[in-house]
Amino acid sequence: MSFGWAGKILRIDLTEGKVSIESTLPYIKEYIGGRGIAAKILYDECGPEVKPFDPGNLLIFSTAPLSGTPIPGAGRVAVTCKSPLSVPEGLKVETGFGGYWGPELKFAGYDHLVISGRAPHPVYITIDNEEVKIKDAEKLWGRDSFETARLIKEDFDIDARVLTIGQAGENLVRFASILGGERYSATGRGGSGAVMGSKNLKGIAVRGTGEVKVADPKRLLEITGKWHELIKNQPTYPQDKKDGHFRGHFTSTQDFCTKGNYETGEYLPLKEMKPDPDKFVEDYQIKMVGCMGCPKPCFIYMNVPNVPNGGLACVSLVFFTGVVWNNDIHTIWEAGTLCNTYCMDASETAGIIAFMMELYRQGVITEKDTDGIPFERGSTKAIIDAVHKIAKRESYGDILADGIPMAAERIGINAKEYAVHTKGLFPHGYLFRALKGHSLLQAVGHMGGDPFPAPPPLRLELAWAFASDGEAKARKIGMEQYGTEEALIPNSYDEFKVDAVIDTEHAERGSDLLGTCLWQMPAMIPESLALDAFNAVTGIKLKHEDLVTVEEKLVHLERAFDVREGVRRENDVVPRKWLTEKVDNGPYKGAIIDEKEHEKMKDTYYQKRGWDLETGIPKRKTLERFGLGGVADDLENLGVS
Amino acid sequence: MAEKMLLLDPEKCNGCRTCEMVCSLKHSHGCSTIRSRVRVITLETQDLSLPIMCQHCEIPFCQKVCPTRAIYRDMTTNAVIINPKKCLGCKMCVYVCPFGATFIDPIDRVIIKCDLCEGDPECAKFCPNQAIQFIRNDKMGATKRRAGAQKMLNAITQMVVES
Repeated sequence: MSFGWAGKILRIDLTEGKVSIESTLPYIKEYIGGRGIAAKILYDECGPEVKPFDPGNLLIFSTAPLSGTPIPGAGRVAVTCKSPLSVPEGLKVETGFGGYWGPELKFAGYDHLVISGRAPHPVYITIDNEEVKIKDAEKLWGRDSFETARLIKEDFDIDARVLTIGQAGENLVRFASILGGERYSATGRGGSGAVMGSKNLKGIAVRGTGEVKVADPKRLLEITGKWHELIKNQPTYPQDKKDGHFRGHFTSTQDFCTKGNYETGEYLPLKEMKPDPDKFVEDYQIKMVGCMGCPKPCFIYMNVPNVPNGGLACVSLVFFTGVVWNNDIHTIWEAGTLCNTYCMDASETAGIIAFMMELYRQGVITEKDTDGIPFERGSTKAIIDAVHKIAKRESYGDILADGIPMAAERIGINAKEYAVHTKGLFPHGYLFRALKGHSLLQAVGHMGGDPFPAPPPLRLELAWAFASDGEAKARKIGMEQYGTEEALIPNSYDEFKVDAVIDTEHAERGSDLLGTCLWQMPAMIPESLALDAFNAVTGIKLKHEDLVTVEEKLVHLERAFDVREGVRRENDVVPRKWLTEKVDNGPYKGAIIDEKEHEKMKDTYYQKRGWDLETGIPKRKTLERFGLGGVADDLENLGVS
Repeated sequence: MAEKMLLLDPEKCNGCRTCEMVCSLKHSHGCSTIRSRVRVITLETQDLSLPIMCQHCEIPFCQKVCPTRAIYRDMTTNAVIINPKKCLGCKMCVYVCPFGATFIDPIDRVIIKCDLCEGDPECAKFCPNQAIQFIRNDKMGATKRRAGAQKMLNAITQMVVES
């Protein structure tokens, strides 16, 4: 018996209705847990012949060794499948959600849940420890996610934890999500909800009454105490705890964010928001909610008139403000909550509405194309109508539901010129043109919009903008870690910034592998403490070097997966707009990405990664260094390396 | 020194279940919600959460019904405690507890309940929302009393101003 890991992978084949169990243990030495093991399973079992909506696509829910312990952030679940939204189609989705579902799966005795096949009719799954049932979901189909979760709990077990999809997933909206926290916290990018919908799977309920075994309980309690203390000592903690920094998340009020469809760097002060954000919180907030064991819950839970009670975190607040030119807080809340009840990615939904607003402004579309609703900048009517119609695939919503690249194709004329996406996904609403490191991360990172917001060290590129001593700090840390003051400040193409990008990519994977939260480690919690926690739980002595090796191996494996789906250097690009239009306004006025400098950084990145400069494919030598010789063979057999 | 008691506050609890985890870690050396001596109940329809645990009643029904006298009161902490060596597992205490705060440990096959961690409860130490506090008995309800007094004073001041 092992500590930390539950030891079992639960596999459910919906086509045959068959349930089987596999041991986790053969995977843990090489891939630790969570996202690592999921990537390995997906790579091995989901070749390029499988299309995202094929029954052969896998939908993998992964916990990690820290899940189900009191370590904050250990409520996260990594979700992995092939993306129906990406360009090229079928890249590996890397997303996740928080709440209580993941620990419950662990208590039920499973580290991972792998769904394959397609049910002949709508179903939902109930897992009561070792008893797994596939039940008819005819009565649930067509209902929203909040109601579905409630009905499943009533039918199965009131103490169960449920994840569901809404109508968007049923209708195969390519950026549909899965709601994991019952009334908050959904998988964001990539369209995992549509994959779940394509499997005719409406929800998964789990009840677990087992335990996660801990090697050194006393030490784990100590570490938990230290961890709490570090979080509580953050300067923003009191505000975060109170309302999740509600007002801090409006894009229009952040000078490192863009507005509209990457149209302007204009910066609008908070007083433009209506009604007053503090008053809004005071009137409607019930509490803050979050993940299991976390002292800093991320979701502000409200009871706003005419909107179902629910929680939203930063993404909805960020995207439904500046990106869609909106300064009405009621509209943010309604649109964000609708995205949760229908279950679709708020960032992608807002991104595509911003795209439509620009098309309308440029005269590419008129109100005749959108059921008589003019897509004026910031129009509440347009925003809410679009959210409903995309989720239901009604009228023009049917076109938008396929994502920005396909919608641009179907709209025709010169719509493509206005489409902003990286590998098919609308990027996070930052002023990337000023943030050269983040831009590189956008270009080379898998699945486009991933990984954002970037963890440290690269986050300092942003921190420069919003903290008064940010620049001095960024210069100092740049000097200490990378030997140059330029490595972490905006508008610099320094070659050592590439090292920061690489470290950031590793840091992002570290928290997923151990089973804690990207927001905590390494931003607030040093990696050493997370490793201490991991070692106290598992009884293994994992060192920094071991973790970095697995993180790097995972980068190459994920890259190889995407290469097999068709990604080459020519796909590793930023949107045309960033290379051709200068930022017109705001603190970063005049910023633009110089293509030559950007490509030079990319060269350095490929070199440091050990990928081929021309194609961007990992070299055999690199793969073999990480014991991925078999992967190199696969790529050779496909004739791509 | 005044005796200390546990104070539970539904207005502060957000259902994070930290208490369950640290409790089971301390008492059962693993993480398990059903081996915890405290259970967080979330009422979705009312958007409310509350930790449920032993209230260490002055007249403990559990102690009264226990056929083996396994349940006793600790004189230093005033906690109502079960001696696992004497516990038959007959579940009489589970039936009579008005709060459902005695539980069955499915692994050790005994009844478990809060023992106040020998006067230093982990749940209160770790609760990030101060929804569980371990405070002196004379401070029970003190915050509410002060808030109530403030309201009355405000009302009186208002009346004085208006008259």
